[in-house]
Amino acid sequence: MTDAPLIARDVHASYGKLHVLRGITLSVGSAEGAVLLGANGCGKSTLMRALNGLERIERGEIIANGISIPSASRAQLRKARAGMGYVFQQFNLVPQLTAYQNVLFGIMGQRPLGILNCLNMFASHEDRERALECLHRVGLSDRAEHRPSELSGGQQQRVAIARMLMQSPRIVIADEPIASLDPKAGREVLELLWRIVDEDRLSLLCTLHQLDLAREFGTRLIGMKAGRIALDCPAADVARSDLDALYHGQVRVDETLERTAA
Amino acid sequence: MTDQTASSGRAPARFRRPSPLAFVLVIGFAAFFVQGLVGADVSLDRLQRGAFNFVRFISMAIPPDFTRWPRMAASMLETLNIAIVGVAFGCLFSIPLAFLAATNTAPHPIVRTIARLFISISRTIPDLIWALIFVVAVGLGPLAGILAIIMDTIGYAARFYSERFEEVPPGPSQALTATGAGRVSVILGAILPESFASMTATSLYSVEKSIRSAVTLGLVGAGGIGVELSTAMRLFQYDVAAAIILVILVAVIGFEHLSTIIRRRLL
Repeated sequence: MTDAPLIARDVHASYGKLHVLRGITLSVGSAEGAVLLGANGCGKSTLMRALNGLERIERGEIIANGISIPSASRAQLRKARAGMGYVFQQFNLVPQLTAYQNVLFGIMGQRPLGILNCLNMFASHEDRERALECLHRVGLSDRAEHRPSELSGGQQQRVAIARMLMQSPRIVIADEPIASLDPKAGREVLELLWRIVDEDRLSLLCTLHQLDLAREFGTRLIGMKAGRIALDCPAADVARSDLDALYHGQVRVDETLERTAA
Repeated sequence: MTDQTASSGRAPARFRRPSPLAFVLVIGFAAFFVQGLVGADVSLDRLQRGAFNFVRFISMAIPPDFTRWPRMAASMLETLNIAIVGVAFGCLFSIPLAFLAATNTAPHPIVRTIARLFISISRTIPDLIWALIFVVAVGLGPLAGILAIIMDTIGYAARFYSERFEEVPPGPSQALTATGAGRVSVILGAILPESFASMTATSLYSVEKSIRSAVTLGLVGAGGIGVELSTAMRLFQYDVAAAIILVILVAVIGFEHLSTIIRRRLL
């Protein structure tokens, strides 16, 4: 557990008076594809963002690739982020640039001079080759010159995954990667993600809303309820009723507050 | 509708008393207006003489005198030079200033406030006053004009650039931040591409605007065709002045058309 690439210990975080994360402890090992489940408003997204240092935490410890995120200097934080891929629900590609350029941006944090060394015009021969290879791995090498608006939602998410691959990360965080996709495209994206996790022995933490897909893909299921971990075990040991319980009763972090206010 | 008025008992009053503030504003405005009219010494007699003088000006201005066209062309070229050089530097300086002034890209709130202050000062002071100041600083001639245009362009372009930066959706910048990229790289990689089209439109409009103001800068001695115009007017050479005005008209209208065409092609 201590040598896992991604470790969170007793993490607390708040927005003003709202106590969102109430002591989260989890770890994701190498070559492990864990699925994080939980109702809307249970604190999943805050946790995901905190793991990457996009959100500040109040208390607790997060260690990614051996770097402590809460106490990291700016340079250390950038180094930790460079080894951690992040896949978003809204893909977050730069709309004016080609798929190829978007993929090249994946190494922005790893090259001296940042953007100058990952513009298509100036990038090194090796990086350019690798960007094409990443696009090839997600099956879109023939779409390199297309802009995001010319691609379908599933294809855009695959370009975002190629950008993540370009980072050659050890950890991947996927925040509802298929929530804006139709079922077929969503399944393709999940298959791609888990294939990459197996091939590159990555640690993946992925939030999903589809319980069936979670049981099918996840090797491990983690359930969150009202800012706490309510369930954490191998997918095979989880009964459907346990999962359903995550979505009933007091699930949101803001409910208790409303109730005391009322 | 009839049901409603019937049920409420009485129709709304015909007249609603204005709020005290509106009352004071209207009275104040009216007083100021009357005072201004009196101060301008408007009388039928003066209007009559004015109309007569105007007709005399027109009759002296026709036909326009183009005999000095080489000098006119040279100073029109100088005006265009002032406008283009000034607007190019103005837009260039506006980009970093706009980044310092936009909420989502400013490195620190204090820096942002200073940048905004600088931008609003360059906007609030009119171009002619900038020209007067720079004529004092660097002497008569086109350099003063160029500096004035730079300040005028910054006031306009930097403001619109920074407003555009603030409108850019945060997603892509967040994605690049999550790859460990530095702030400057994120801004150049995600925010600049998304603002590019709008910045081009703003810059083209700045060019139009600066040509119009470069024409008048010569009136205070900051170079260009305005110098010729003010000389001709002072020497009562109204036919020469008319020719210069026509040249200005053609140049400005021509450039506006050109810029419209470019904008339509580009965006």
